[in-house]
Amino acid sequence: MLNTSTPATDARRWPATPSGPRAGAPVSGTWDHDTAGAFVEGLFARHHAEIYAYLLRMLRDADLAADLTQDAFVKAYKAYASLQKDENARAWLYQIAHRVALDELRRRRIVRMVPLVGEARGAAPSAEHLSMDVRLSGPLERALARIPPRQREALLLAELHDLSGIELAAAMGISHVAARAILTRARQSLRAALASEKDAERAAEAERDALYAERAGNDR
Amino acid sequence: MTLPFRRRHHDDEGTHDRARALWSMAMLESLSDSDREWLEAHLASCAECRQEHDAYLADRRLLRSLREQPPEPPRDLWARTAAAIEQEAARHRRGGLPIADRLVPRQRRAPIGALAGILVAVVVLAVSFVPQYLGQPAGSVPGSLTAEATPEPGQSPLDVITAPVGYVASTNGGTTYQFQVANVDQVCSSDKAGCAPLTGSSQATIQLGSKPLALVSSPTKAQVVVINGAGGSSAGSVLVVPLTTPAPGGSTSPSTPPSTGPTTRPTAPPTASPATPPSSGLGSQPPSSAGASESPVTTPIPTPAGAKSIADGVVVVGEARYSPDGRWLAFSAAPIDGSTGPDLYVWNGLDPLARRVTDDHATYFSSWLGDTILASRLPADGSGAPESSPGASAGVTPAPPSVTPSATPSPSDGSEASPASSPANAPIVIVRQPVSFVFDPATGASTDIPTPDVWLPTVDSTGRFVTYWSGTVDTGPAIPGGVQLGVGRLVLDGWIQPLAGVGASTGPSAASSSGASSSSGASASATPAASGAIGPAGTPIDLVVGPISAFDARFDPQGTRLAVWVADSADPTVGTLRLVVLDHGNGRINDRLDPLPSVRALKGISIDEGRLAWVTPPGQDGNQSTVQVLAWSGDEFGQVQTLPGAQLTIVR
Repeated sequence: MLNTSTPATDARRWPATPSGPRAGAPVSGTWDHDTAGAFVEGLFARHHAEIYAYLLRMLRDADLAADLTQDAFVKAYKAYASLQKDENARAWLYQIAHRVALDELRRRRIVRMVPLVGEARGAAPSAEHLSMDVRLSGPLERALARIPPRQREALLLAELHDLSGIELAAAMGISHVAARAILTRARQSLRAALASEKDAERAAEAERDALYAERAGNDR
Repeated sequence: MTLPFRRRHHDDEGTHDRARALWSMAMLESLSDSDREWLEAHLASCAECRQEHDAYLADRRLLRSLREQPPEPPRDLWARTAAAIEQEAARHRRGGLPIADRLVPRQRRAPIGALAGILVAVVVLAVSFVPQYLGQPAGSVPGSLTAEATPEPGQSPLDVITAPVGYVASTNGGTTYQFQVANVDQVCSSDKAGCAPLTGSSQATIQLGSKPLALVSSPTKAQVVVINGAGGSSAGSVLVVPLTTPAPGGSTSPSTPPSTGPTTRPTAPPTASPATPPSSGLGSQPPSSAGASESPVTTPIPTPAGAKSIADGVVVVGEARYSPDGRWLAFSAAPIDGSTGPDLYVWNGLDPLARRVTDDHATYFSSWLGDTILASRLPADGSGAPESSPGASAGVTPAPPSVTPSATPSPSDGSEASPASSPANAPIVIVRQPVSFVFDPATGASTDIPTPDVWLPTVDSTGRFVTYWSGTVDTGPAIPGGVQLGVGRLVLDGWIQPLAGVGASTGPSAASSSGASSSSGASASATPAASGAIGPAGTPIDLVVGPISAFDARFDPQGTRLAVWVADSADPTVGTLRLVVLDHGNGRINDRLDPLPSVRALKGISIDEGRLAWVTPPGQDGNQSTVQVLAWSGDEFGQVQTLPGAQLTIVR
């Protein structure tokens, strides 16, 4: 049984780390629900905030990030038997989150691609979307949003989530060499995107200034 | 291990790429001693690289600053997750059904099947360009690598079945061109080393005054259209060259004697045969740009045997394309003297000359949509006040608000800017809001696409996707060529079309409705398509975000591959080419397949059944161009290239 009560006062007091990590547990075969449950509970306590942050930055949608964090941990529970070594649990969790995020990004493309008949479902951005856009409106966030998702992912995992090269490769399901290459491309893309964000900001500023100047002229 | 010091480091971009890769790697993990030493030495010798390296480090610091503001997960997240896991465990204990992917229902998105697009004629292209060459092995060049000779692991050639690749190569420095056809049946993975060079079979020799602007082949490959630029002895003409011996009594015009200059032909008013498009109110005018009888050029120039000119004294603007059924050729063209902007022309294969079907002097052909034409125009009144184009060219001064579009086109630039109101020496850029429309060459009817700011749309053959420039277009004397993309983006979108739209409006009976589009086809007329909205679905995905100056985006016949070519701003004849893979089963862009991430390519790409072909830009050190072919079989891709050649041009 899992502890479903959440301490309302302290968000950091999440369910405790499982007492006995499954030392010597069979890698496959029988799959003990309680062991798996306790293990995932511990994983959640340690890593849910970073997984949530990662998914939020990948998808830029707070509700979706929460849903997908939940999905990722459920998947971890289901895939418990596939975890080879507990030391790798964090990278393994990122691997799951990566797949969840990628699935969502692909699904989202469909939805945006396919013309909808009749009701205009999904046509207008939701209020949540808009509020997110406001919150993530810094030049860096915008630049990040502009680079290709896989490059963004590599950057986030390496720089914000401290995955090593090997962990990054495992999480993204690619070779170590490919992971390095994608990260190099990602840094180049970010460089370019930041530069153009800065340009755009300067241009917008100049426009604002011109507008104010014009207004001032009109008032006179 | 150090590389020789280079005084001009632009000589070797590879060195800098290596440095970039190494310092990026160093941000992730420690480098080997030799790599570190190399990088340090390189940074010490290259001030630019040090600057760039610093910039990367600064970006990294900025990125890491995001750690200081971690997002707060919702408080109930564990409760929800625990409940979902509990549910999962219970299901499992019951020994129940396969586990559902999503345990806690979320708001479901729309079903995929709700498609509004309709099927237009699926293009089936003959694979056998010239049958006798199909069986010929591709590689017979001595000394070249062959696939058999180097069976490296992971480099096994991929067998493919593709449409043949047609191209021309100059044989004597610019006037004689060999028309080559290459069959692609084996390609190799990424570095192409395992495959023999692609070799073409010479099909015909074409005499041209200069390198053609473009070559377009008919779907049956029976003829090729040669589009000449403004220079050279065959300047400003559109020639149709039969590739095979014309069948007796065939459709080629008997009125054109071979081997005479196309520029000497007299003006022949188009006949009013039922097969010609209705006049659309333009019939009273002679097809002025096509009948350049006043042309001073009378020297006979060598022309390809059987060639006929369907338009003289014009410069084709943009693309020229046959309709999928091969009945029509469409293009837009402007008078060679630049007196007006371009109009849309169609040629039905029987008439002596192509017929001009618009007269607003601002219409640009884009693509075929079944039997109809997708074209774009730049309304003179549209966006009102001219603006200076940001970043279009240095030293652009804002236009005074008094500039108003003039009714008479300026003779100097082909745009509607009135020269009288332009301040001296001020390069004016007029921002236009393009309108795209569907034109039926059989009836002359046209239907505007209601979505604003759609420029040069192309719809895939299944009618499901459209790609277009979503944004403004700049015109004005300051812009070379008179027109350039403004602010916007190149996008991929869904395509919506009423079921009665394409393909239903053909037939001679519709001729009576032609009066509806009396002038320039501007207003929507009574086509079936007008009864419902036609146009992009309005859910675009960015392919390329501007500023860019020009593009060419084309789907393959299946509509599952999209080639995107984007011109360099400095030189619009050279650009960057990419292939996007679309999955029609589910309507997604396939992120995992990135078979062609950005290669350099000359303007004029060709995408067809199973392959994409382009010409590489000639190298700086005298290297000649090659024809490159990316071919696919299912989701496997491979590449093959020809030996270098001079003046290569792909036949589209």
